[in-house]
Amino acid sequence: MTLTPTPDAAASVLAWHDVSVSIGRTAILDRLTLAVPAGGLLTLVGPSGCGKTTLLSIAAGLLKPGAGRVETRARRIALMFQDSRLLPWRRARDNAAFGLRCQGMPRRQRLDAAQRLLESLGLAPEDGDKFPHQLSGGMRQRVALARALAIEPDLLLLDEPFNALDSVLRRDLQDLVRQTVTARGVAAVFVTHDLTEAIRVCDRLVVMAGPPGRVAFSTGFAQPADARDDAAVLAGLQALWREPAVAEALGATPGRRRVTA
Amino acid sequence: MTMATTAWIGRVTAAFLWRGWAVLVSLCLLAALWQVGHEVYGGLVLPSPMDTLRALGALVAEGVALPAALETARDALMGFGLAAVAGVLIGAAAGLSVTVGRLLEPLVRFFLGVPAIAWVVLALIWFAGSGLAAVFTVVVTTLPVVIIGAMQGARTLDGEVLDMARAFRAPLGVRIVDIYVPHILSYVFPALATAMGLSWKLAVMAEVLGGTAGIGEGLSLARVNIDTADAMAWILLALIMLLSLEGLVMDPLRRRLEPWRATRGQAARERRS
Repeated sequence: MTLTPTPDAAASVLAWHDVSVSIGRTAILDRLTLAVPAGGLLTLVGPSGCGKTTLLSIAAGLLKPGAGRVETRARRIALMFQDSRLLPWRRARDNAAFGLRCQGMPRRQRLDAAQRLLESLGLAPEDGDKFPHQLSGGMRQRVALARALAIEPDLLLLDEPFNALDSVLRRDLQDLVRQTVTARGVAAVFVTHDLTEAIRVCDRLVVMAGPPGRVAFSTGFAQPADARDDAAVLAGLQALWREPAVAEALGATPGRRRVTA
Repeated sequence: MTMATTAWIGRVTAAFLWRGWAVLVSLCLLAALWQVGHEVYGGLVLPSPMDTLRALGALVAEGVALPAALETARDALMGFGLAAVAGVLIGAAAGLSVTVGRLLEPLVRFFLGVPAIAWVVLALIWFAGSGLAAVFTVVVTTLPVVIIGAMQGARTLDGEVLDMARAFRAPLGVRIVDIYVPHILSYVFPALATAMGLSWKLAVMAEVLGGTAGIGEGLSLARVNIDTADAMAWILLALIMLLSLEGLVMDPLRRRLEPWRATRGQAARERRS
């Protein structure tokens, strides 16, 4: 699969400009600049501690950068976390409706919307009545995804959302996210440390190095994401590992490459 | 009525009967042991269950039991109510603010360490004749229990869940109703149940020592008259009241408040299904 190193699109829905963040004396991000194109899914891949999550926290307004600024044209931003972060004392349907409740939508209306969304994401109708402890890990992440989608965001931020799941479930949910992004035309940033996952879902891929976090490599793919099969993903993986910047950022030493060309 | 509703009613009734049956069996076992004790040691040491019930019947018929029970209930519930309201507010504040928590924790530990009987003695000196000794004892002894529960609840609030709420721009009202209250309540409720049981025992104790009206007064009279059957009857009365309060108020409340908790039985059922 061919990489297409197109320049960043002019119309961006979200952009970090010269963003720096440090915790104590440790620099997490050092003057990082990155733009997220409007529409489509951008994946951020990088080793642990390179500031991927920090970037999302800044975009979601949970964290103020020490220097630099973040610009967004998105009116509604939804964030999905590594763990589902559902409220254990609320049923799946109420959890999915949480964002709508925060917007002040009447109860009947928001619960109906949440139930429809849960069913469209592959939960059985009766699952809406269950409490989080009665759901499996994959189902909990589906509820969390429903909670994020319910507010009809124009920017969806996903922070390693499927880390805790086994590989089969992961693929299911990757496809689900991919379909959702295509169907709704929402812009999304998907953070992961798994290059394969990144290639499977992305329209545009950014490899980060660090700490302190910086952009090491950025690319698009000639083949649209929805048409990529496993062979295409593997080819993409090989093409990416051939890039010295990627190999360096993701920590592969020349003799120990997991995929060799 | 749909099939599902009928099935549900059937299940609930079966569960109720099964529980009632288990209670009945264990009560009969206790009565049997009690009877054995009576036959070994004689009526002065341990009156038979039937004698005790007869004594209780007589106390009720004489019109002594009911006013005494109401008096004890008033002492216990008033003290419990005051401790619950004050304890939850103080404990939540102590859990949310590090400064208040630091200042309060040693005090709470200190008060928790003072023997309940010492409070009774002090209360009798301070509130002699005013009838408030029992209420005071209940309040000072149960307050630390409730405070610690509420403090633990407020302290263990999940920062990640609060971040999630922030990411969704949750207004303060939603955060209070959907996050703070359910979480703190899950810690406070067991503390409240403990405090409720304690308050009953403390009220009776204060009444025995202070000679003020209530079940405790009946008990101390029975002691003076060396009437063991009466003493057992009063104990039975206190027990019946406490257990029915727990069974009719606290348990249904718990079931209503905490269906989201995975109990061991529930988890096993779900694994099977």
